[in-house]
Amino acid sequence: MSTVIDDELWSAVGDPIRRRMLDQLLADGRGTATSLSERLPVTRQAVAKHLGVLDRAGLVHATPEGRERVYAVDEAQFARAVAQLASVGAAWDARLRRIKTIAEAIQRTRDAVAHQNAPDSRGTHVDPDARENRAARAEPEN
Amino acid sequence: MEYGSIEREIHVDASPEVVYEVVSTPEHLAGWWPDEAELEPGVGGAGTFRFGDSASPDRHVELVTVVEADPYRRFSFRWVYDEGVTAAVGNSLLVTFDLLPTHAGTLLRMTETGFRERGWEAAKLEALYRDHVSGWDYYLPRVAPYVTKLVSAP
Repeated sequence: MSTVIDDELWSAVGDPIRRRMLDQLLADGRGTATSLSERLPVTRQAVAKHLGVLDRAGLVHATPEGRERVYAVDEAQFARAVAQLASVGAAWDARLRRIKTIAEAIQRTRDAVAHQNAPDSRGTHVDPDARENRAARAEPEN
Repeated sequence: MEYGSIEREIHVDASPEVVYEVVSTPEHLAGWWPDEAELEPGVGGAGTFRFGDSASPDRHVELVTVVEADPYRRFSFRWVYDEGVTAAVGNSLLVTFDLLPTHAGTLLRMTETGFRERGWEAAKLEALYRDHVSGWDYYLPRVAPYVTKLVSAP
């Protein structure tokens, strides 16, 4: 698939109104510009325009029915869009886990060194129970 | 789900000072992401992330510019932009780390935006870079040596 079409797909799912339209089409299975506009804060004309964008990106397919066109989500193309972002998200999950491991290792080592250098530094210790009690008291009664 | 951005958060049992160091300094960046990192850590600082072995044909180099450097609170940078341009909204991806102190350590929140503006190719590129450093086998042996190095530093 070419870069141009890829970019169209990305901007098609990037718009919040179009995502709500996709959600509705996924939930209902099908819809028309009229039926979608009844549940969205935009005009039927605007919905028709958005449907055109989704159609060009291959995210929906239209079937003529009477005087209206009935739209349904192209599940393969939609899954492709979702998978791409899930893949980037998974990459970040892995990176954040590595950040956590590195930072915690450094912290443990520094704490150990600080403890060796100043074994009497008990004054900085915070009683965790005291914190919990404060938190509990701060909660509203009901 | 916002298709134009990615948000993630993780709790780290380490102080914001330590976490900030890990997300913002080149020696630590190379421990959790690119194979090699060069970066001037201040606002506007330029740098590069290198992915892949220097001898490998699939070696990638990405330019990086620091956007915000607010020690122990926020660090952000732009990347995935073309050589010769100034990194800005619309031509790059923006990665922001927000650090929130907690009782036990730091809540680290990461946001990456710009996918909608930069397009699909950038997202594919981003996902691709995961592969170079995804394995714990690759990463774990690197941690111990540089923690030791840090601690032995004056």
